[in-house]
Amino acid sequence: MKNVVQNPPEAQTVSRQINTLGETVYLVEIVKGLGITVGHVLKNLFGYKPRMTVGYPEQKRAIPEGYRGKHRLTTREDGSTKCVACMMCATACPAECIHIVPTESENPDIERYPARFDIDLLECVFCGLCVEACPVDAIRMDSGVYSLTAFDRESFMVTKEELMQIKGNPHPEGKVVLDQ
Amino acid sequence: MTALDVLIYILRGLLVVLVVLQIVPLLIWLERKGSAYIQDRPGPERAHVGPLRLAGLFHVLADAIKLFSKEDFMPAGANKFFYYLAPMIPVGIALITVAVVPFWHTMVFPNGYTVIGQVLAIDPGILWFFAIVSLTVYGVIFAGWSSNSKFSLLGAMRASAASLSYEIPMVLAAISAIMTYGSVNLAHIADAQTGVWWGFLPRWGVFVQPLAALIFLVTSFAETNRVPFDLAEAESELVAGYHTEYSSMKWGMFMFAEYAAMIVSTAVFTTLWFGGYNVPWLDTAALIAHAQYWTEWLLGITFVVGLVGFAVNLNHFAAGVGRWRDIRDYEGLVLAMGAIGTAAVALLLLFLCFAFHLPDWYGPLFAGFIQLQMFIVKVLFFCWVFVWVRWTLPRFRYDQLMNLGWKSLLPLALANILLTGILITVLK
Repeated sequence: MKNVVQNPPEAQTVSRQINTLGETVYLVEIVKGLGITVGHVLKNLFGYKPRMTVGYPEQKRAIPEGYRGKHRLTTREDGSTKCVACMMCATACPAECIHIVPTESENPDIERYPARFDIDLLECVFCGLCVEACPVDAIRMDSGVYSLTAFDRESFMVTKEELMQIKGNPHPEGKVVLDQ
Repeated sequence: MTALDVLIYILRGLLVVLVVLQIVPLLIWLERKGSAYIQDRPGPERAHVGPLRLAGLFHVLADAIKLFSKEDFMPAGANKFFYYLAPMIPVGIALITVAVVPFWHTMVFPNGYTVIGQVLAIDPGILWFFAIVSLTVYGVIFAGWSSNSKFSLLGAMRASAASLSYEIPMVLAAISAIMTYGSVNLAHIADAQTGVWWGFLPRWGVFVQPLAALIFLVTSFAETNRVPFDLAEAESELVAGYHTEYSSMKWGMFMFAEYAAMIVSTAVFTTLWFGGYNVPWLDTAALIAHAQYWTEWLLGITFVVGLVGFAVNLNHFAAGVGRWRDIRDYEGLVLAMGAIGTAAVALLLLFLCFAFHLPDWYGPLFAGFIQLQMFIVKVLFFCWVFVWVRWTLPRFRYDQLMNLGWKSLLPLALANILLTGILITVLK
């Protein structure tokens, strides 16, 4: 068996030699281990109140800057969508979850706008390529919404109107209130 | 056999079965909460009935409802008869093996009526226990074989091999105990552990046979298929072992059987080595003679505990308002009311005890009740040891398991029998 497996040069060999009698009969080491665990139990039973865990629905952790949450469509000052239906996002999308139906605009300054702009959130992989691809900053993923739940599949097909209503939350101040 | 005898017989059976059935949910809660506290987590704490959360005790109830209402799935190619039979075997065996364990010393009422502490007062006792409990492995083998899955089959083979290997040291360890006590009837064994040595040390078997007690405890872990010997369901290798293909309440029955087996193992362990139902320093005669005195003490302690509980829970209520923002915020208040109510009832009963002389039949009943409680406390403690060990130790490798069983525990158990025999011969 010698030299069958070559250790990488920087790898260290950890000695697993059992030396003492106490280690050989397991018992002493087991009692030591039991001492450690019961110490944790007593600490948690009496007085160790700030826990490591977050009680999720009531408490939320702060999400990092640049977090890619649920998409939203940005709007102009008059409330119409910035999207020009150029299809760049739908083309960039690796999951092919963006479905756009373009239509001609009456406004001569804007040639096209989306009649429909649907995102299938169940298909979406939240890669953010649509945001990168957008030439007019119409689609963003800075809503800070990461908990996407519904009772049926249809609810995950979000439309243009819904996407336009979502407010941007680029620096969500989720605050962790540790367990009292 | 009069109608009263039959009634008492049925009541004894019900009591013993109910003790097991009632402790199992408690153990599941103990396992979840204990593991959580060992790992610095809060554990189950959300489910509630009205304002009461009781530290997550209702999660077990929610789990049971979930298991009953889940889809009962049977894999293709499974042998239907054995597939359905398998979960019933361990549960049934756990419930019938506990029947030979004495839960209290025989109650002798002043009119001569006696109530024994076992359901089955049979002489084979511990031998009957070993004979029946070794059938548990059939449940595992049937489950593994009939579910037509390689993971299940591997788990079942491991479980049967481990069970057979560890049964031998277990029985040999019990033989040392049988030699020491001179009886195989568990009631006699528990009875032999009444009293104290040198005025302070309870006459428990563990002080005579520490090695055998240790071997029995270690083999109990293997018999109940729990960490560090739970190779049967090694989830890192075998998905879930022999119950991989089980779902719904059939899986729930395996879960139930695991904890019921824990209770039975610890009950026998307690009876053999930790005095069984015996209250340390207080034998049955003393309990009967001073029933009134101890009742008053217990009521007094209940009163004080009720008052402390009132203060603590009221403090929790005051500190925790707004944590859940629903009815659960009022849990502390409800518990405080319950505690003060208990204290009031205890105080009332205490005054009644002071005012009246309790009737003669109260003594044996009180002794039996206290011994039952003592037994349950001991069993719960050793169940906690099972949980504690589970969340402390890693799983043994298969060769380590076999080495420990055949090369360490078996010779040790045999040597212990030899030593016991020599000592018994010499000391006679």
